[in-house]
Amino acid sequence: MSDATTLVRMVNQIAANLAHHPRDRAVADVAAHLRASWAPSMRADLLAYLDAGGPDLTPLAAAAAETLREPTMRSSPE
Amino acid sequence: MTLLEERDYGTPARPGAAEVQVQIDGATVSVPVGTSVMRAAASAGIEIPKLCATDSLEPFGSCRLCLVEIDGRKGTPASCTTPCVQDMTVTTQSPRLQRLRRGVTELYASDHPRDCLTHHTAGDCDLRAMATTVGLGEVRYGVEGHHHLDATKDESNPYFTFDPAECIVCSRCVRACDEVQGTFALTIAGRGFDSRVSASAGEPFMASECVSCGACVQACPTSSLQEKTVIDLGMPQRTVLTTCAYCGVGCSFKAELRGDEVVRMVPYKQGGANEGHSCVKGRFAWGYATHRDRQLSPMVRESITDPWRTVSWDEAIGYAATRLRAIQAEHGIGAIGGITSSRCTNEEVFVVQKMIRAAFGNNNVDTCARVCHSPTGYGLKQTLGTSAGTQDFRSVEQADVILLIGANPTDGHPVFASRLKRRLRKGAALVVVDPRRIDLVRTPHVEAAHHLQVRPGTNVALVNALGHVVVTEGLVDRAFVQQRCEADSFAQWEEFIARPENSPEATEQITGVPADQVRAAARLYAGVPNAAIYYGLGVTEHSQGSTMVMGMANLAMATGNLGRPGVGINPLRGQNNVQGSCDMGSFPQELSGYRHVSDDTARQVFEQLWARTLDPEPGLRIPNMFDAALAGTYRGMFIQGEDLAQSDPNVKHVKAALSALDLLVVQDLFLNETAAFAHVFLPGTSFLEKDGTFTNAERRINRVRPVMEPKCGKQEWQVACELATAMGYPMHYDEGAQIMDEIAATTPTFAGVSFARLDEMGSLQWPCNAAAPDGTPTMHVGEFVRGKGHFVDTPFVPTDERTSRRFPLILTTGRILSQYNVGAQTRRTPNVQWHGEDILEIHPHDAEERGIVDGVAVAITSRVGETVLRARIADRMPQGVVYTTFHYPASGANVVTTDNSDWATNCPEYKVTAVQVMPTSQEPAVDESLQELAPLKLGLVQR
Repeated sequence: MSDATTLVRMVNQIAANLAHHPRDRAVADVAAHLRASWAPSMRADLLAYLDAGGPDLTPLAAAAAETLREPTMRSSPE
Repeated sequence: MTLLEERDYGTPARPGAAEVQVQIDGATVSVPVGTSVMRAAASAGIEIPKLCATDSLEPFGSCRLCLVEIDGRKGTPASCTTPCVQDMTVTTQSPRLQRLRRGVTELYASDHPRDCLTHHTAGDCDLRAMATTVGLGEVRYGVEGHHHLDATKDESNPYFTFDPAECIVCSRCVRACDEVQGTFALTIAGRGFDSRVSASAGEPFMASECVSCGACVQACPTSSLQEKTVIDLGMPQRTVLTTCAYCGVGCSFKAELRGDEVVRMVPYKQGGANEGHSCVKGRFAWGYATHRDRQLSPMVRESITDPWRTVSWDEAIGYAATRLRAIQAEHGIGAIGGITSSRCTNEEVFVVQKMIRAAFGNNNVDTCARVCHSPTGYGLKQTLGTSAGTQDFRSVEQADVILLIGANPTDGHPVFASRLKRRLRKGAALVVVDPRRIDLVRTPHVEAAHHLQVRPGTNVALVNALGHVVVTEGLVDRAFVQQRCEADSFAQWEEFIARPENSPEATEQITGVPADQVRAAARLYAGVPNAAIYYGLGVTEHSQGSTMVMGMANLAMATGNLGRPGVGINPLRGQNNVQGSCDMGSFPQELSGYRHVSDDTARQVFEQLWARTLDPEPGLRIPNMFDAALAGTYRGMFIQGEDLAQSDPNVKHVKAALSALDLLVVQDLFLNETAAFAHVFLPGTSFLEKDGTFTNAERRINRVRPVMEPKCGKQEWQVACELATAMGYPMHYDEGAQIMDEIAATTPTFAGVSFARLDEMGSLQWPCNAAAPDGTPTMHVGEFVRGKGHFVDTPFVPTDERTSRRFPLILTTGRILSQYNVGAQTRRTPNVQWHGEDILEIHPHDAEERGIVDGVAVAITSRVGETVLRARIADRMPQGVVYTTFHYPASGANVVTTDNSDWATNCPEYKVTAVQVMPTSQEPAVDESLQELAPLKLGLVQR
């Protein structure tokens, strides 16, 4: 498992840079970015952190992380 | 190939159609308006004797050897300075001309070493050749009178000698320094017979402003300015055309050899990137390739605390393969990975990423471009549709305004800088955006219209302010936007950028740049026919590096500055093959040609050819690999030609991660810092041994041809193939050309590229395919790669790296001309005489507050580490900002840089580190290889 502190910082940073969009789009964009550029192991670690309460995730980061549980179509990179 | 002597037409080509017709010695010649008689004659195969003329320089008319007769004109005008006129009739050979030329040549020869004229001494001498041409049998004048034959040689430069005795004062060197290089370091001092070439104000070359680009040496028609290697080894006998291994300009060179020994590297006039120019690194600093530090045998060791054991290739590869497979068996397929190198060829990189994807069975491949231009890839793909600069270098010659952001070309990309300066001297305006007052802000005959001295970390606020002015002052190119860009994303961006918080007045508090300067710069950029953006790592290596790239793309699209020569968005790439290594599928989420691994169609192309199922999910990026190594889930790593333990930020963290690996395989020329953590060392090849291609910053694919056999016995791609084969996935190629054929077969943008086509064309700029068989110098003509240009809102998000009472200064890093990246190459050349250690530049006020004086040792402390450097008081940086380079491992600049990174790509934020700087009694560490130079260092560092 990767260091949660680093993952949290990274996802919060991604969220901060996409937070200007309307909420639904921001959640989708953050999640799309994570799917397109994060290894599955990192996404799994993030979900594990979320399952443990995810205390340091920003609301947008947490919402986006939550959507990673949903299956997605392939061939739809960011 | 025998020695390639390039045709010298005497004067430069003129643009335009061949519409002026003249008769020269009875031959009819058609040339463009403004073409000299000398060049017209040369184009008809008629050589007119010359000494002061060469086709890289404007005509000068001083040597009086090129005299001709022109019907209806008096006298014997110089053919170099006489332009062709319709129906002109020229005679280049007559008894009168022969007599005049012989007389002039004899006068030159009378003050020239006689042994040079009578037999071949070291070096080439056009005067000797001209003496033969004009039939000068003997020199009637003795040497009893006043002469220059006893003049003292200037041997101060480590690479070339100036011998005034050989000098004919033709001014070619002076003109080359002015016109080609743009440094203006040379002049002719004195008058009449006392005239002589002088560096600066009569100083030795080494103490002058000379930047050792070699243009003067190349221009010199005699042996007065001569490479020391030619003096030592004699004139070369054969040529191999190849490509420089340093920066992303990718200069073409003639490697000139005697036998298998390189005598000199001479820039190639036909080279598309450099067109006959060079810098001190490419021209002279190639000695590292045969340096005694080269490690030429494979080595292994069980533990990084054990001594190395030299082994056979088979044993080293077998050992690495066995241990990598064992790690996967115990910890999973994804427990290993590798890194490709931007110093390696496209073919080497392609094979390594193939080894990782197909043999390792995962996408844990990344490249050193991660730490430099990964935001360029992200940002330009989002907005324009592909991850590449939009222009060729030649394009700058048509730019009216050049917006230079976070780049220091005179140090980092010197040959491009010379092109840029040439254009600026002809009248283009320059806007520099940089916290540091780089040389281009004010240099001979160049002065920036604006220097926007932005605070580190605030680029996005600045580019937004520029965009705000464009939108709110009616400077948008509506026709371009309507025709070429998405209406909805533009409308959204227009609303966003027009908000008050993006105005120059509002962002002034963030950027530190006065609003009126921002407004003036924006008006300048948007108000000319052609405005071009050039940028470097000062853009990308930030927490919002990708955002900034998109911000620049927004600006260029809004003003219609894309899709034709003279405009565009142009990343100045750091290493020679950054573009290529990215093109070749080195990123964990992308196959070659920037196709995402989740793209089923793209993946199937490889799966069918490679007979392997590929992982459709992205792999780990370099920083993720480090984190996973420390977490124990990533345990084996192959590193191709990179020194992560020196080049990557927060070196303490990097070293801890490397130490945690069960197996580290390093392939390199030298036992670098990273090799200290390796279990297997595989020797690499220098550019003089490689057989492949490099792709430069203008997407130009150039051949890298071997001038000698691999010193370690194998090409690097062979080693990767053998490692993959030993791991159970057979890979084999007979030659580099086969690898390029596979790249072409799998990568649409390279479909038309082959070694044969490159040999035919000289170079090709991708996309090169059926639609563009000869390549694409300018991208996005008519339509963007993605179709319509996409605007992206770019809100400024401050970096987490903040100054505080404990860390009140911002450290930013950069390069110096004589050194390259982590210095592994240049530190092993005489270039250390210019830069023997990394220095901390600090503003006088910051220095005074801390009791720091010029030259003292200072401790630089950040939140992650501390190092000691020597201080230089300089006002190039604004108050509150300090600056250093990172060319020496001993100086440990990256001990203090943090692992903050770009939000989209994880490119490290090298440019912003909060630090404290205080005097210390500790001396800076000295690189082991430089102990003997230590006393000289400070005095020789460029100021």
